[in-house]
Amino acid sequence: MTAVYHALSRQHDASLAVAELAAQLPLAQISIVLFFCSSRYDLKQLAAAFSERFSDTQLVGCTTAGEISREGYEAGSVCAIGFHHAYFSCQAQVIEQLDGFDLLRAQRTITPLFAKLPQANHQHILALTLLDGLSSQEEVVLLQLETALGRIPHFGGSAGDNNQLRRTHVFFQKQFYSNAAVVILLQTALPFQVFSGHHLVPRAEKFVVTAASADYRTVYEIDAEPAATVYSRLVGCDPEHLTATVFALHPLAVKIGQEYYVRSIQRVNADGSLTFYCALGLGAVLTAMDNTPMLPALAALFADCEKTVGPPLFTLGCDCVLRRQELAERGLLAEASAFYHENQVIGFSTYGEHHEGVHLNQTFTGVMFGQPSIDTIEMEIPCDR
Amino acid sequence: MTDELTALKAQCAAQQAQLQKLTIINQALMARVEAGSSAGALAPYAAFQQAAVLAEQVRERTAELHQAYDELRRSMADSESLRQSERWIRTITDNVPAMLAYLSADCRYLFTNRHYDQFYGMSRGSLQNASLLAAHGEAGRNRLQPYINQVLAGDTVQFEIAEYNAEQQHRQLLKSYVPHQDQQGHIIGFFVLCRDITERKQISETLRQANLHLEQRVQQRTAALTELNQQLEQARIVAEQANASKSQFLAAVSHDVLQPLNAARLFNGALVDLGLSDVAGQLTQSVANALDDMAELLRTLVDLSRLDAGQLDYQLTAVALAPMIERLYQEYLPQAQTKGIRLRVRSCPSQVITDPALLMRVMRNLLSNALRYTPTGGQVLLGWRKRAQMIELHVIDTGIGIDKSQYEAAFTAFTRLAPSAHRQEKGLGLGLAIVDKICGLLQHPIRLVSSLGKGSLFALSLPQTTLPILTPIMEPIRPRGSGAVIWVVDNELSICQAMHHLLTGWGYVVFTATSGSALASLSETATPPDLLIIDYHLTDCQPSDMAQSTENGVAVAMALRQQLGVQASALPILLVTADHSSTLAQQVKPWVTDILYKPIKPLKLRVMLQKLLALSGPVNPSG
Repeated sequence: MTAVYHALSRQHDASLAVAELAAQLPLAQISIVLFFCSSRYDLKQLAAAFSERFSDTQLVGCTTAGEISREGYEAGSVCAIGFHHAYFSCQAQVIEQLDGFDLLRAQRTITPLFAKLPQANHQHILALTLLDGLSSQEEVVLLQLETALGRIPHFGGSAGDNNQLRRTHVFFQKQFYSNAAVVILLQTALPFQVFSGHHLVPRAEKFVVTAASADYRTVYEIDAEPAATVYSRLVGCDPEHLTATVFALHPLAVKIGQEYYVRSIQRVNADGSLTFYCALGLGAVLTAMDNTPMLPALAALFADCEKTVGPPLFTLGCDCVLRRQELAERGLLAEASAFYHENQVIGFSTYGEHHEGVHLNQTFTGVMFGQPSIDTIEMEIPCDR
Repeated sequence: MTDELTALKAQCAAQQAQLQKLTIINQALMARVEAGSSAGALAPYAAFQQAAVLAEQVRERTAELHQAYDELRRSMADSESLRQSERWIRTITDNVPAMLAYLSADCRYLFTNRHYDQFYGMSRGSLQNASLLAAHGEAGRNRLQPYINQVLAGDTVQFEIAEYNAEQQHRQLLKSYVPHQDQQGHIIGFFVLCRDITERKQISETLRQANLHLEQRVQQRTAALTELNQQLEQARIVAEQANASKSQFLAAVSHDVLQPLNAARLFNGALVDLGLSDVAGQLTQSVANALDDMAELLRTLVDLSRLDAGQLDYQLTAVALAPMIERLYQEYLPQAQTKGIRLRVRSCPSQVITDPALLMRVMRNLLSNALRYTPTGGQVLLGWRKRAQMIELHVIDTGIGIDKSQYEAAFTAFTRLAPSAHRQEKGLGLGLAIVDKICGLLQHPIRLVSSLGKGSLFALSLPQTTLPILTPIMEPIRPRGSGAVIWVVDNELSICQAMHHLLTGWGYVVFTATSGSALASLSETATPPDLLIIDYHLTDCQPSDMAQSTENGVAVAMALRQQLGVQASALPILLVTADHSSTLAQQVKPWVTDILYKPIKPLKLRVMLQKLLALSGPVNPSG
């Protein structure tokens, strides 16, 4: 029995694309459909088509900065995963108006979802979050959700818009939302492992953010100099030549505890400031990072997960858009696609990843599901529908 | 200077700018530190920081949890494997065909296996923590107490005990108590192993009894065999005694039966001397013949039984055949002539290995037989033939012959062939039996070829040899008794023979002569006499010449004394006469030592001989 169903459409027409997806998914067997769509689609048409075709199915998704189908990196497509109800029980909720999201709202969101899951003991549950990637609310929302989720393993990704940096959306039930998040709880008998990893190592150079905008993720000064000037000096190029690729190849990170968290630069502003994909505050210490070969590190990460789940069934991946930039720069897209294909990876290119309540950049974050075993069949969770 | 100053100023300005930067960085850092510790509204970066810290804490906790979980799982796995092995032990111990238990030092069951519970009729597990009394009761406990004391003292105990099982069956149990010591060597309990050996015991008892029975049977058999052996031994002894008795009997026959017989012959001889009438003389002669036959018969019987008893000694030696054949010819020629049979011999230059005396006996028997069964006008030939390394002596006759079917019977004792046709012939058919036995003894094969009515051939095979002859061929003189030499002169041959037998039986060496002339020739060859017994009337009454020449025995004796050249005292003379007149006695008294009157009584003769020989002093100290 198949635990998950993949679907992919490269049709540019939203209706056709949704029709193709519907054709590939046995909706009667499916607990929830998760999709990732290019922001090039006409989202209104797409939402209408989904409403029409998937009216009786839980449907969640988001726009992307590129999709990962079973065949690897995609662009301008829509891909979907249907979770078989014999293996998965799923509950999802949308969170609107992310500003001022607090713990109370988080609990009011999460608790009913738990209640609807067939097994109330919080076992075999993982949480998936999809967030508006340009909302600048990820850190706060994720922290509150994480607190509400307690020890439920959590991962997710921020929606993208193909590097347009205008508007990203999440989808819940029948429509797309901005400045919103979708939380999905999956309860499954399959073994799984939530993971996050990157291929970056710290260098010696360190800088201090000496002027920043707390709300808009913009750093004006580093070490009391214009941020772009300092960064340009670090990477050795003029501020006007700073592109996404440069940002990808020369990341900056903050160290908290023993970990380095990459804070990716989104763009250079005309005033010499830098806008990041994540929050940075005054006095944050930035460490320059170096890139190591990405795919071997990813393979090692997967191998690590396989130690827990055994032979993988498939992996749901949130892959930072800057990694795709780096792979494109290095000409490794095809190799990466082959790796994803080989490892049954489905996912999308993000504007940020979520892992255990932490907002991350330039990582590969996801969950790996293992093969159903005799034990998992015995513990099969009945469908709530 | 200005340059220097300018440079200095620039340096100073740069340092100032740097200082300003550092001041800003310092302020930023201080602001960050302060923001981190403030509980104010959550700024996004602070939220991130908090989330990251939380996440790290969660990771740490998770790692700890995982570790704890792993440990838990390991211990669960351990306890599961422990339970598994417990189940295994339980399964194994429950299926071991023995009763197992473990008791604490205060005699409470901490473990029993299925067989143990079943034996005592306890439900499964009901003995757990129960006292020993639960299974055994007071009486049972008391019986076990000595062993329990022993095992609790640290000894391993093994003992057999009879108990009743749950079905009240009497069972024999072999129990082992093994003490269980803790590390300090204290006895904290003991292991119990019981095996039901009732059947084994029964089998071994059956076996033991069977064994016992077998042993008894063996003993009985042995006793029976021993008894049989003893009986056999007894029988053997009896047989030997009987044999010895027979030998003794035969010895008695030879001495004591022959003695009256000889006496009879002496009396008969005396009768002849009386000068009876013709009729009476003929009768007397017939009695003499009959007595002769009987003497011969007795001698043969004695020889035969001595052969049977294996008492006949023999000595194999090299013997020249020629003198023996010549001698046999001389011996049997008169008899053959008397019967009108032509006897011929063929001399043999060879020499053979044999006992000469026994061989002579065989040949005499064969020749006697041949002459006996050959009618007048027939022929008897003593010849020989060389066969390989053997010399075959042949005795051939033209007699009545023996049927082939009778060959074997011919050699059997007391068998006489065709007795009705030869009623007048002498003998009891012992001759060939003796021949057969002697030939068997000497290992001289004898064969018989015969044709009824035409004649017989007896062939005796003797091993030829070229060994030098050590002893002359002659019949050995076998002196018996004291060895005193007595010469007997009597004209009656049968008297001479009777006297010979009688005196020889008494142990004297006897030489006889029937006439004065014969006596004269005797003195040339024989041993000089210690005593002379002489008949007064030496009348030669041989019927052949019919001349009645009478000799005076005293005159003959005197002549002998003179001839031997001895004094009267050196040769006692015993005169024998049938003339009881005193005249004769007076007449001869000066010349003879003593007179004995016919018929001679053997006892009187013996006393007389002893007296006379004692008078004459010690004689030949031979023997």
